[in-house]
Amino acid sequence: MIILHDATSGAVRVRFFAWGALMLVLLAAFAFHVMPHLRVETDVLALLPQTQRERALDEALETFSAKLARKQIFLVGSADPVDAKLAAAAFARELRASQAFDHVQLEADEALRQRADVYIAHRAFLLAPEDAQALADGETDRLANRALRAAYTPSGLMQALGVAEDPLGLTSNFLRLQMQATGHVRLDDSMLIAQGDGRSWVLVLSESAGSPFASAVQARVLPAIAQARSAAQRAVPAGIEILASGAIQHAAAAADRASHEIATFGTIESVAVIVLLLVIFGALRPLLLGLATLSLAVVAAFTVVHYVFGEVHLLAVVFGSSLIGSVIDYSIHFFADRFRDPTRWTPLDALRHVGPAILLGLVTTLIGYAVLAVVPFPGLKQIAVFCMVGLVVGCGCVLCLYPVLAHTRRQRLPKLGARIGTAIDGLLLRWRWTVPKLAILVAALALVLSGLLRLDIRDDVRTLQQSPPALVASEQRVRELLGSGIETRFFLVSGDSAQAVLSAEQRLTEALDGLVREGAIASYRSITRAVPPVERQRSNNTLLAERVYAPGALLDRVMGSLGFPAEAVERRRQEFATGAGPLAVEEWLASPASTGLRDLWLGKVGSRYATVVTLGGIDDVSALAAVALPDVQLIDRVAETTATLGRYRHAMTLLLVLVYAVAGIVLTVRFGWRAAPRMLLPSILATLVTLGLFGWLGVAMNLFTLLALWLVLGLGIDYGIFLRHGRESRPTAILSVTLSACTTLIAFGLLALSATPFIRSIGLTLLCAISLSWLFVLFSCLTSFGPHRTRQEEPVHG
Amino acid sequence: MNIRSLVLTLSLFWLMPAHAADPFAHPATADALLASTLSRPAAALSRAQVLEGRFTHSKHLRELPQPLVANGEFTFARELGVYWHTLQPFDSVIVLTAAGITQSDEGAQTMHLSANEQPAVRVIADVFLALFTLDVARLNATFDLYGMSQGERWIIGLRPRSAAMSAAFKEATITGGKDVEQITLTDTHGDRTSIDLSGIEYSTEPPGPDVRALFGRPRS
Repeated sequence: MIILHDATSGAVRVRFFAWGALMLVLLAAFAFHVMPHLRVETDVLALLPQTQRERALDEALETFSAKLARKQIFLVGSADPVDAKLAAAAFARELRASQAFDHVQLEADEALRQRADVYIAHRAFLLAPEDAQALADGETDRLANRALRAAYTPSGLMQALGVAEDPLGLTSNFLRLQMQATGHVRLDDSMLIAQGDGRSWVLVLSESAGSPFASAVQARVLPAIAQARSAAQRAVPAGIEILASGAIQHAAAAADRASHEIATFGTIESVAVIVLLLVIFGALRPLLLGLATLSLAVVAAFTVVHYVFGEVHLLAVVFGSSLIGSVIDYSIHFFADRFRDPTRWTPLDALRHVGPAILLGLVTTLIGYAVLAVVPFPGLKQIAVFCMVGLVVGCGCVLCLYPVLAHTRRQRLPKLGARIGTAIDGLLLRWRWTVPKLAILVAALALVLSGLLRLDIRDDVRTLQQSPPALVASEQRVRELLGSGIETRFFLVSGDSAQAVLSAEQRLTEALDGLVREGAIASYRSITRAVPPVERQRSNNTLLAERVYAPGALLDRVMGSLGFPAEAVERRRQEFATGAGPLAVEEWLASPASTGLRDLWLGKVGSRYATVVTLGGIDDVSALAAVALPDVQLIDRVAETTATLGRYRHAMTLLLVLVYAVAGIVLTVRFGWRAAPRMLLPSILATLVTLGLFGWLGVAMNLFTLLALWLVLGLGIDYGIFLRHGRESRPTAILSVTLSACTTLIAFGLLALSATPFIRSIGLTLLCAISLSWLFVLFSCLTSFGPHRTRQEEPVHG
Repeated sequence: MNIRSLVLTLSLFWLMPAHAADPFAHPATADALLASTLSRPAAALSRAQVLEGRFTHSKHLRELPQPLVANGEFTFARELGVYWHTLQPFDSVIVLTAAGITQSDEGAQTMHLSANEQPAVRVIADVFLALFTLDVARLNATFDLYGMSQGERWIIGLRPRSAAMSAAFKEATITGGKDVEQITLTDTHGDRTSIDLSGIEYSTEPPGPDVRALFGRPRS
């Protein structure tokens, strides 16, 4: 601040050129290096910290979830199945041609026999669980009868292997288990088809090349889908309907809506601010300098966040738009200073007069954001860095560039600004606090604050990220038609070795079989169905040896009664004795048999092995949560996210209190214990009253409400500091603060109209809290208690 | 597909003499088959709501010197499915519907395969129903068709187009005159199943309660 006080024109010039050069470097870096690589992340989940699992495991789960998020399901439907197939073929062809997908599946996997090979090689160790149970229970009569029925009736056609090859049908039963589909699809001419709503729907599966949340991937995938849709329409001009499901359309809709809102709100906001500033200052210069400062601040924020984090999250951008409020504030304070003495004013006067206040306001705001930056929450770090950089650059521009650039030859200013300042000041000067007025105020506050008790807190992430109804409806129809969908909940099974994982998973699948019977879930996918744990395989082998292949046992009995010659029976026995050993996970993974299930095996992750069991058609979440087995964890990203948002909302509330306390100390040291509460209490009160009103109005509070209250902290304290600094020229200070509040309200009032719930939360909170903050701070700093003291009204020049 | 007009035009192209027993030497289209070979039986069957008769099911297996022979009676009901009652050498009932396959032995259910869980079951069910009713359009969706006829007699051949289907059987032939008389399925292992039908009776009336009861659905 010493620098500001002895600001000579020489020092000012040095600072001007140094800062100007820095800004040019910034612009160059942004234009040539940042812009081409800029990536805007839109997933709220990406802002969340990692959970408390082992790091390596978390990364593996991340990979698995990311792969899940890359999948899309399309249903191409028509009343005529032939049309549906034609359209689906055109659709899939176009998707493949676009190169935007890693994988597009239209035909069901045809290599059934190849897929069966690895199981047939290890058939001496593989049994369907029901058959193993029947053998263990000694139900040999039933098994023998079943085999004879299959030989004599068309039901034998359902067996994958012939009667001679698999006389008891045990291998066929195991293979049938592997081919089990989930949901309502059937194989028709090698395509998978679902029936419903009077149409045949052909299933097309795809996997986008890259994360659905990356805008570059969206930019490739969405046009590809649109083109595929029109290709399908061209192939079959009438009566085609295409339903889609997958994360990418939701992500794209969110990004699209956000950018649309930013464009709309940004335009309205800019126009409103331009009009406001033109009317008040009657000149273009404050406006142009203000916009230039703002642009530099935003560019700097984007650049630094890009370099530090590798990407910029949408939320940082949204929240960073608060920069518009703060940075424009600095310009406003600087130019509003002119109203003190329009005829003799020079920019150097303003620097001396409002510079210290701007710096002090900046420092308190930075303290707040610095606290955010140390919280281990990646999103908050980004927001903090984005805002801090923007504020510092905005402030730097005002303090270094304006003293040179803000020179004006105009002697007069429009009268409106002065009138507003004087009018409000007059009102405040006449205002006297009396006991009844205070009583009413206290009663009103008590009433509103009692709403705090009714405040609804909602951390559920689903209420924060809502997709357009059309997409949700399409998703829902896909789910209904297929009887399954992309479920976000799954089980994680881990263990010290691959076999330990399989054993733990075996126990889990037994529990899940129970849940399927109870209807809590429709289905699940696990690899133990294909590769049972080795101890299970060995017991299968023992059962087969003792109950089937032993002389005089089932094999002899069934093949004998069918009339097979003794050599044929002996050949089967020989094959059993000389077949391959137990099926190992590695061999299975390397074979075509694991197609479609391979992703479930996470393999060696850090010090442990892990696999995933995915679920279909979840009906009862609590039943899933009740599954308690060692080394088995239910992974519920949505619930985890909700819990994390809750934890951080809690932490942020405490941090907010802490920052208010720190700001209180800073202000007390600077202004004394009498003045500091007057500057700080309005923001605190505005915060509490806003929350009280939310309580009464039934508006739920969440993490994003709190983020907005952090902004209120910074802006509110600024108002206090300015009014305090401007004591000698009250109307000017009032005008300055009022203009600031207006620009902020214009910016955030519009956010309250956003269709994205979390942005709306921010907007609504700021709309309410900033108006209150402005009102409270005027009364708190500029009215007095007790009898009328005579005071010279300061002349205001127009 | 306007079958009647096609019958007139396409019958001109279908004058091929049936000189060999191998129908697979004669590729055909569904329209052509309907127009000539199958025009009469298909027309009769397309009106039938319920079809009843007796069957003999013979399975010729590799490594097995003599075929496995079973016989019994069947009921086909449009919209319901096939009721397949084996009487000899043992009592066993298979009910095949679009929803799946159920097998009961001596009155107790011993097997159930749901079409929802096993996509292939539905295809088999569809094809089976189509075979019985000579639903050529439906068959044509899944198979390459072959066929020839001589006088009253006709034979058509079916080869699955998709590999998934050929896992169940490699090729099928249907022979008959007025009615479907024999269906033969040859699978990929070289096993052969032939089903001879006899004593077939049609009913153009919708299935009555006694027939519905066979499918476990007393009322519609």
